[in-house]
Amino acid sequence: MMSNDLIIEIKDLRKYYPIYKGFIKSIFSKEKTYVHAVDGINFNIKAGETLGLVGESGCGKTTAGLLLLKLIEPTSGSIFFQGVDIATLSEHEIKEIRKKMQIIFQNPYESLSPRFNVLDAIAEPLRLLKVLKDEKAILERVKDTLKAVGLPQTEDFFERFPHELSGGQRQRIGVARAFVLNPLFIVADEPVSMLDVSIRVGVLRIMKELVQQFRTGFLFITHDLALARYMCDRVAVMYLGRIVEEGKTEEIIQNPLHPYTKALISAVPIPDPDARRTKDIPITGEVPSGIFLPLGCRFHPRCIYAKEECRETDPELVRTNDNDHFVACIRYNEIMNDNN
Amino acid sequence: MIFQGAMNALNPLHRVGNQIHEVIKIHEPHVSEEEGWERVLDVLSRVGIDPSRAKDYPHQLSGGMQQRALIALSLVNNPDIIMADEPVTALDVIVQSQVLKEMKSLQGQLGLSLIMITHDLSVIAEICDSLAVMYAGQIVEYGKLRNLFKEPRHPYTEALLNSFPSITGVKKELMEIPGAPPDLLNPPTGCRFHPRCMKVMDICLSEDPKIVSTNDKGYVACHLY
Ligand SMILES: Nc1ncnc2c1ncn2[C@@H]1O[C@H](COP(=O)(O)OP(=O)(O)OP(=O)(O)O)[C@@H](O)[C@H]1O
Ligand code: SF4
Ligand code: SF4
Ligand SMILES: [Mg+2]
Repeated sequence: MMSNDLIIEIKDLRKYYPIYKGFIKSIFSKEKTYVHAVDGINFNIKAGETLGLVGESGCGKTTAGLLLLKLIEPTSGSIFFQGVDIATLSEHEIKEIRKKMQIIFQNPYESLSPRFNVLDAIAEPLRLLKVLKDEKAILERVKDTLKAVGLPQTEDFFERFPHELSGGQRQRIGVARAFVLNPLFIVADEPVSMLDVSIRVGVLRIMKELVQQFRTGFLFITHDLALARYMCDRVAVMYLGRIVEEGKTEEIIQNPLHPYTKALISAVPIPDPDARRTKDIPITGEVPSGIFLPLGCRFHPRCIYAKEECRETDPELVRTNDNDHFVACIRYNEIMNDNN
Repeated sequence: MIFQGAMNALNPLHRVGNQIHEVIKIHEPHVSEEEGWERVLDVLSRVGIDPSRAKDYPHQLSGGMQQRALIALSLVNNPDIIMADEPVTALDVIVQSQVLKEMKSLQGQLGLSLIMITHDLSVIAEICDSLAVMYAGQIVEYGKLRNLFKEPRHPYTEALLNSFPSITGVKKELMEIPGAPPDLLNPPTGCRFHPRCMKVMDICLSEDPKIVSTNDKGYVACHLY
């Protein structure tokens, strides 16, 4: 793979949110306490590639997405955007780069301004960032983008306001707004989870097509592994601010190595009455808070394979025999042999 | 009745045990304080919550425990039927799977009927015995779960099944359902699904399909049958 194909690469990226109020503060008033929302993650995304970021609520997916776009400031670490580390750049310095990155939000009802009609909603990024100055050119670009997301390009449709659109149409406008600048990189945070099941596939297909057409780097955030299977080339599984496993989507689903990934996959409900689960999910307890993290492997209190050494060693994400498969578990080799 | 999103259905200002006890006091005023509390603790342990947590406020419980507490709330009057509206939609898959198992086993133990309202076909496949498919305010197909999943008759049921992703089996292309759900103030004439149906015929535009029974004891409302 040529390195210029790399759109984004993050290294040891962290975001700690300080906690100021509440009882924790009063007990530990001497020390500052933090939520370790993102706690040292590494991955990269190439042009035209979709990386899925999956994991349970609170594991840090949204925080990671916002960090990559520099919509929040990282606590530490690097974000290389086309080779330039933007982590420490000022808002002024990344002004040009901003045009090349976009976000698609979860909620199509909140993410569109009720005061903008369809034309203005899609034209806004073009006008705001002064990408096109000529109104005629803007109109052409808006029309092309509407066509690409499968919406009408008529005068009547241009003048509709969000409340006059269906949920699916609204989310397609959200997608159009993200792609209208032909960005190099897009983060989509649970983009279809608020949509009626019957219209999800349409929105997913459009995103997939646009990513391929424009060779966009795409970070697809979801808690739904079945959806990730449909959308993503690779997936990264997050647990408590860390990536515990990463690899090609089909490989992770067919051959999960990390005990957490195994548990997660066995818990996903299957839309087939003949495939009802009979086994219990191989996991114990509940997710600890991101404030007081378990020592050693942070999954050890819930891991059915945990051994003494897991309380001491904090496992790094390492390459397995398969070149594209990474896992953060000191026992993955033994566990693998156990199963076979 | 179990409502969607436990966070909203439990009163944040009252202790979980007290809320369950309240239900007994309202519906069975003759039950003594002591017996009432015995039942509260019993029902909590039955849904897998340690009775010592009865004095906790909802925010002190995890999402899954809150959902279990709601199930306890709905069980405490020994009902024959429980209606659960999206009971696990707001939960993470691991907790969701635990709560579903809990519901299934309680149902077996207590001989309850369960009406599960959800948009999630995979949750239905995991827990239900029969299935009624609704479209635009009407039931368009009803039957044994397996029959509907293996041999859907109504084009909407079939389309829904084909649009739903799964992590098992061969990765299949998902099929798109064109259009969007209709505005119920002004539903389409004839069959309400006709603007989105791949098998639409002339008659579908003007005439409402009648409900007919199928040879495997199901029902379907579609002009194809
Ligand atoms: N602005 C903030 N201030 C303090 N803590 C925060 C803030 N935003 C997020 N957190 C905490 O950081 C952790 C990660 O949150 P994040 O929103 O990234 O999770 P997520 O994986 O997107 O979850 P979900 O699936 O529920 O959307 C959580 O513990 C959350 O409570
Ligand atoms: S390192 Fe130990 S505790 Fe952590 S996932 Fe592996 S086996 Fe489990
Ligand atoms: S009645 Fe006609 S339009 Fe309605 S579902 Fe059947 S075939 Fe389709
Ligand atoms: Mg999130």
